[in-house]
Amino acid sequence: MDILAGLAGGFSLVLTPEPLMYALIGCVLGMLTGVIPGFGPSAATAMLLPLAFFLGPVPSIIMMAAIYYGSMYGGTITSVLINVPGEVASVVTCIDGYEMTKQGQAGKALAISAIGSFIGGSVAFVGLVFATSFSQFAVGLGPRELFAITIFALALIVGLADKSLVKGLVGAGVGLFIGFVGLDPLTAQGRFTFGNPNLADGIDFIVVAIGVIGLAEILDSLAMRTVIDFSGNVGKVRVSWRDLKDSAGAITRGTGLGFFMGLLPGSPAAAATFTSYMLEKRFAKHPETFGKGAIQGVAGPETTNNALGMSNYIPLLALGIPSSTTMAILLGAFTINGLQPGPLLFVKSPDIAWTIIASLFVANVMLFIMAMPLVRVWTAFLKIPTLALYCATMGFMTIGAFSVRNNMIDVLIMWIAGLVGLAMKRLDVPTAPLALTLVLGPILEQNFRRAVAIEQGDYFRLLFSSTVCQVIYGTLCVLLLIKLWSVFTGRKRSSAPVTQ
Amino acid sequence: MVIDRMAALVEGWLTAADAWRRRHPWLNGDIIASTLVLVLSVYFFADSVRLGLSNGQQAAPGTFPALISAGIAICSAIWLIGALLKLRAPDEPDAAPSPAVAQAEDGDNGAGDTVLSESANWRVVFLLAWSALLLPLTETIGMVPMLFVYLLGLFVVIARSAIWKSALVIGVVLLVFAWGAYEGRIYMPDPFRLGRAIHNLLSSLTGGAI
Repeated sequence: MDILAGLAGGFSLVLTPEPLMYALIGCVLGMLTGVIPGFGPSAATAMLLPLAFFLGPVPSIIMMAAIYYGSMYGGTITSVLINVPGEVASVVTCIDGYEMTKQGQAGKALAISAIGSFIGGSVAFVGLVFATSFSQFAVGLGPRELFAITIFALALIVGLADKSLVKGLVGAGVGLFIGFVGLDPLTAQGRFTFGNPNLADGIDFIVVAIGVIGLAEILDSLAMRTVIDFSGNVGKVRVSWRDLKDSAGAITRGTGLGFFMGLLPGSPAAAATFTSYMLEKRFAKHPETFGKGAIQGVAGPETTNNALGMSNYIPLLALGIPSSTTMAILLGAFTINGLQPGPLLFVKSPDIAWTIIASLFVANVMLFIMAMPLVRVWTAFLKIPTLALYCATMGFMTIGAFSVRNNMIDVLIMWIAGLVGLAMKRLDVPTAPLALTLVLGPILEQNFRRAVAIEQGDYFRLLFSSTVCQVIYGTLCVLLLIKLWSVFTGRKRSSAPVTQ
Repeated sequence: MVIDRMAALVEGWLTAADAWRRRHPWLNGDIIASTLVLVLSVYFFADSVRLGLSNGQQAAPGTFPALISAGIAICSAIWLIGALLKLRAPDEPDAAPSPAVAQAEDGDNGAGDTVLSESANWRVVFLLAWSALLLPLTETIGMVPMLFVYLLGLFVVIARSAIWKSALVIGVVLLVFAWGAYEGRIYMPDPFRLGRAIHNLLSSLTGGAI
């Protein structure tokens, strides 16, 4: 009953003109940025993060959540219409979505992805509401356990999400190190500031996130000389009952798959959408139509992606651990407004917590309402020269970085971060661990130092004195062994002669 | 025409530099990046030790950074060794291109196609070199003119087309941003007071409505 009462309270606060306006603005901004070729939800949310500074905690979170959903749908539009996925998770949508566009059925592909996304997001929302009860369990966790859980989440993200473990670890380490710059929170001793007073306050998360995730995307597109020329026909933006019937199974399976994969910290969205696609191909009556414009090939992965996006909030809200780059950026939006997601959010500020949860559903509904009627507007947006889009985006990012502290050092840091992000992309170093450790680094160090103080400097007891820690580190060891085994067997397999 | 020739000249230099780099396989990105990270992590480890590793029964300011920098040093050493071993190994066949990348050649695209050029390494080198100009330019001419010069340079050398259109688009967009920042009380370095000038101009044009 507490849950339902909390949710009702949240909806009563969200369903007022001001929050609805922020949700609307967020959806529009999200779709606008998501439509920029190659821009995914993480780049879009990073770019628009400075907006969170100028609004209060609740409006900024509502807007960021709406930006997230809007940019996801914006990415779908570019995947379907011009075969440019906003992020890796949307690559699979290109396969059948773009084929449908070639057949003049782009409107149908976009409509079914909007419907699937709405259903997936709504069902996952119900799961999210009831999963918040996990936070009551998490209230009793101390610094040792929180340190262990954070290490576990980071290890999953670094180890399971990408091919190269070593490069992932380097990325995570660099993110942690950026968080060390500035005054030590306990002793006020300067760390790694090189005597520069501008660095005494530390390096702002937003500035680095804009650079590494947003600016690097644009610089990469420029270096790759991406030119977009869309002059195709969208067709009618609607689906028939027959299409809905054909896609019902894909939407149902996509919802379940996305919800459960989103619960795991570090579960990559790309793996979920690819699994969904393979699942649909296996269940299909006519698997030979896949790759030639099968509607299930769009409905399944898009539903999975949105359900996963919603259930990704569960580890964030219940434990305070972001499970993806976008969630790390949203965590940043919480922290710059003085909120700390996690179990204590429901204890200290239940109103805010439930308002945020309710706003997720409102953003989902708003996106569904706006997506289909406005498809032609977003399509027209694709006809704006890419040059102008990139130029406007770079200008917005630079001014956004400056506005964080009204200091040129932040602009410089953003550009350096952009170039580092570009180098990381070129060298196949994943940026997700860096973004996550940027946010989690200070929390991790804080818990580490508290735990050391509690255990009076005994590092062995810090690691193994509680049952929760033993279980977590034990599981981590097992996963590490599995990873090493898969790497070993994968190498053996790749060295075998190719027969297929 | 002059700008076009200059752009071609820069491209020629950078292509030559790229070709020289290709003749020296040890100068690959993995080796350079891993060495750089290794050197930095050793430096930061030493700095962390200087900050202190133990503070009685509590962790000192340098404890956690020392642990992390040691971890980065180990990982970057493994990365470096892996990159050096790869130099000896025969080349692996290229991976299949992603659906987004596997598209038509330059200038031969139909509706909805994406055009991506080949290696583009020289453009990355140019991006790095050109970005070094950011800070000195900002301090002397202000943020908006700096962005104008920077973005125009990028589009002239990289996009190599519609230079005058680019200049116009970039100029207009940046002037809008300068005005927006002024109205939003974001006071950027602006020695020429562009934001204020646009504000005054708009005020006089609209009879004080803006």
